[in-house]
Amino acid sequence: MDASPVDARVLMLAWMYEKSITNLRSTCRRNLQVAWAALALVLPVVLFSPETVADSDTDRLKQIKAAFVLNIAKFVTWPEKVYQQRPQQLMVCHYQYNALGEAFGIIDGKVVEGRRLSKKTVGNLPESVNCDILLVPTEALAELENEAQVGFDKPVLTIADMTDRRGVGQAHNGVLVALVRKNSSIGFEVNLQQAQKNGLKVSSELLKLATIVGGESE
Amino acid sequence: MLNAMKYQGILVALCTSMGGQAGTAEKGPAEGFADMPLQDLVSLDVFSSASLLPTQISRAPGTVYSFHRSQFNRFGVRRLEDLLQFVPGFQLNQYRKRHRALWARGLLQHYNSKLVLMVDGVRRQHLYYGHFSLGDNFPLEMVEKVEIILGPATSLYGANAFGGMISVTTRDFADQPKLELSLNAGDNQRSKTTAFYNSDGWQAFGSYLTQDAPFSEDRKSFIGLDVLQPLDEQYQTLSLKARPLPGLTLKLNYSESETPFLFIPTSQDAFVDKSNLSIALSYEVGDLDSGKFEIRTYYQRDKTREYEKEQLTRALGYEEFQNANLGGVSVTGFKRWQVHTLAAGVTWNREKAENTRYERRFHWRDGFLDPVETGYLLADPELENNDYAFFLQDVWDINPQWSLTLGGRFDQFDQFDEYFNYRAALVHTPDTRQTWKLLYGTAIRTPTLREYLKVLEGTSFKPPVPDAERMKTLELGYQYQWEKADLSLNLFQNNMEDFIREMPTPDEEDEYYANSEGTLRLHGAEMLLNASPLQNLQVRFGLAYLNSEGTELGRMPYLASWSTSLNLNYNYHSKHSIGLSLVHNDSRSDTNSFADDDADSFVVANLHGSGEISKTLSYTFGIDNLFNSQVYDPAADFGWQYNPERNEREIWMRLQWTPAF
Repeated sequence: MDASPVDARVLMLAWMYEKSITNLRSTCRRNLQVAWAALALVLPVVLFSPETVADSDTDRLKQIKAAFVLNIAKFVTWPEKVYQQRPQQLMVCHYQYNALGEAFGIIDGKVVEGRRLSKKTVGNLPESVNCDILLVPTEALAELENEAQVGFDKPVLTIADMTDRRGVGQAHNGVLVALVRKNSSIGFEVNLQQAQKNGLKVSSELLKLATIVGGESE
Repeated sequence: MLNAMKYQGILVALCTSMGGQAGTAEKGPAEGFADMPLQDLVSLDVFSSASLLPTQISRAPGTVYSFHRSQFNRFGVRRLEDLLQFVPGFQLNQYRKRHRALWARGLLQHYNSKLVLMVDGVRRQHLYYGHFSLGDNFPLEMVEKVEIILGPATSLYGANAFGGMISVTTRDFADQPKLELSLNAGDNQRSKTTAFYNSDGWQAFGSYLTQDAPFSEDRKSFIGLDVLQPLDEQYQTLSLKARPLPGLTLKLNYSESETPFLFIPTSQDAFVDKSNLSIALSYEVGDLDSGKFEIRTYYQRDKTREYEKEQLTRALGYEEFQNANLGGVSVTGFKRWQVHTLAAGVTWNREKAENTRYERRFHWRDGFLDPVETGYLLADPELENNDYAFFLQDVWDINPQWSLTLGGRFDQFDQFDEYFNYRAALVHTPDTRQTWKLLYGTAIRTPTLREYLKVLEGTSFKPPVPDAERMKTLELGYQYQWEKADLSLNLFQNNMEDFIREMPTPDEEDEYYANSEGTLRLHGAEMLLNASPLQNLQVRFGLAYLNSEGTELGRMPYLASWSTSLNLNYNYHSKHSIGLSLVHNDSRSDTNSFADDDADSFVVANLHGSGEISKTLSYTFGIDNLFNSQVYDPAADFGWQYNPERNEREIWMRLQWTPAF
C-alpha cells in the first residue's frame, strides 16, 4: 500500500523512534530485572511508611466523604461572632488524625460563603473550640463521645464518619452530623436539637436529605 | 511506513495537546465529587456487592476487586479483559481464535465457561461454547463499573460461577442531558468511533471499530506452519437503556463482529461472524429495612457463523452455525430483621439451540468433497434445557466485629442432575483497619453443549457424556488499611472433581471431552498492594502464586506458578497523568513437541497517559507491548498444537469530546 505525501520531518522522527526502541529493548530488559529487584527492596519501606496513600476503591470512598463535608458546610450557618473571629477562614479540624488522607485535598482551599477552607488537627475536644467543623474518624468516635459526656455546647459542627454501619436513627454524644451507610450509598443523620443548642442553624434544604435524630427541634 | 506515519502523527498530536490548557472535561473522579450537589452525592453507588447486598468491599464475604470508570485511564486499558491482568489470580491465555481465555486461579478452559458474566444483573453467555468475550466486542466506553469476585459463587449465581463472577454495570443515567463522542486511532489501521447520549430517563450508545487484528503476519498456525489468514475485523454495538418509571429499567443491546480465525493453517482462511441481541427488564422497589423486591427478565438471541474459504479458489470450504436463544426470569426478595439480612429468590433459565448445522465442502487432506458432508454440531440439534433454581442467603451481623454469611442454592437441570451448593463466609473486623475472612464453598459447572453433545467428524469413536465438574474451596483472606494505605492477602485451596478436558480421539481424527479421574488440587496465594509513595504517584502491585496437583494429571501444564502486575501512575499536572504497567508470567510448560514456541516467562510493558485538553476535550494514549515482546501462550488442549502468539505492539490514541448542551 503506497504512502500518501507526508512531511519529511514526520518520517525522520518515526525512523528515529523505531531505532531508539530497538536499542532500548535489550537495555530495558536488563533494567526491568533490576526494577523488580528494587521493588522487592522498596516494598517493605512503602508498606510501613505512614505517608503512603491508598488508591482504588478506598480512595474514591474517601473523596466522596470529603465532598459530603464540603456540601454539608454550605448549608450550615454559624453564630455571628464566629464570622467576626474568622471572616475569611473556615477552619476544618481533624479529630486526632486526618482519616481522609490525600482525599481531603479535593476540598482543601475551597470557598464556602466567602470563607476559605483550611485545616488542622486537634488532639481532643476542648482544643476544637476555634474550629468550625470537627471531623471525627470512625475509630475515634468512642473517645469523642466519652469527652462529650460532660457537655460541649460550642458552635463546632462535628461530623462523624459512621459509614461502617447503617444508620439506625440514634444520636451520639458530641456528634451533630453522622455519615452513615444507606443501602449502597452514603446518607447522613443530623442531631438538629443539639446543633441548634450549639448555635448552629441548619438549612431546611439540608434537612430534606437527612434523617433527623435526637430530640424534637425548637 | 504507513504505520510509522500514523503513530508519529499520534505523537505530534499528543505533544500539542499536552501543551494546551486543561479544563474539566468530565465530572466524576476527585474534583468532580467536590462539585457535585448534595442530592447527587447521596445517590452515588458507593458500596459494592459480593453477596447481593451492598457491602463495603473490604467487608464483602469473598475476594472482590472493583474498578470504576474513573480508573480505566489510570491502567491505560482499552478492553475489559486488559483490566483482569491487574487482578491477582488471573492468567490470560491467547486462544487460536480471536479471543483470550480468562483463567481464574488455575481453572483452565479454551472458552470462558468457568466464569459468569453479568451485565446489569443479567447473564450473558454464548450457549454453544458457554463462552463470553471481553475484548474489543465489549466497548469500555459504556461501562460504569466492573466487579470481579474470585472463588465459587454458584450458591448465588448458579452453574458456571465456578471460578468466580464478573459483574459489569453499564453507565449510570445522568441528571442533565449529555453527549460524549470519541475517536480512537492507532496501529493496524485501527479506527473506532463511539457516540453516547445520556440523560435522566434514557441512554443511547453506538460504537463502530475496524482494524487489523494486532498479530504478527509471521505467526505460525496451530500445526506449526505459516499462516495466510487476513487480519481485518470489525465490531459494532448499539445499546439503548431507558428508565420510564422509578425502579424500572429497560435495556436493549445489539452487537455484531466479524473476526479472523488467527492461527488457521494455509489450506484455508477462516472467519467467525457473530451477532447478539439482548433484551432485559429489571424492576426494583423498596429498601432493605422495609423489604426490597427485584425482578429481572431477559431474552438473548445469539448467532454465530464460523466458515472457511479454500485458499486457492476462495470457494466456501466449511460452514457451521452456533445459533441459540436464551431467556429467563429471576425474582429476589431482601429483608432485614434486626441482625439478619435475608435474601431469597427463584430463577428460571431456558436455553434452546436453534441452528447448529454444518456443511463441509473441503477437507485439507481430501480436497473438495463430493458429495458435500452435512450434519449438526450437536447430537441433539433441537436441544432445550431448563434450569430451575432456588437460593437463600442470610448475612448475620453477630456483633459489630463479626458477621457470618450463609447461603445455599438448589438447581434442577433438565439435562443434568440436581445439585445443591452452599457457601459460608465468616468476616471479622477487630478494628477499622483490619479484616479477616474465612470462606468455604462448593460450586459446579455443567458441561457446555459442545462438551457433551459434540458430533465427532471422521471417526466412529463414541465418547462418554461428561459429568458436571465439582469444586470445593477453602479461602482465607486478610486486609489491612493503614491511615493511607491498603494491603490484601488471600490463600486458597480448590479441590476439583471430574475436571473436563479435551482429548484427541484414539485415531486422532477429532477431539472429545471427558472427565479426569481423581481430584485436581489447586492452591495458591494472592497479594495486592495499593500505595502512593510520593505525592501524585500511585502504585498498584499484584502478586499471585499457584500450584497444582492432580491424581491423574499430576502437575497441571500450561499454568504459570508466579504472575505479577505493576501499575504506576503519575499525575505530573493537575489534569494530566502518565503511567507504566508491567505484566509478568512465569514460564509455562506445554505438551507439544515443537521447540520454537516455548511459553517462556515474559514481562510485557505498556506505556499510557491521559488528560484534559479543554473543558470539553480529553485524551488518552498508549503503547501496548512497548518493547514488542514476542510472547507465546500454551495451546492448552492436552494435545500437540503449536502455541499461539500474543498481540504485537500497538500505539493508539483516543480523543473524547463532550460538547456543552
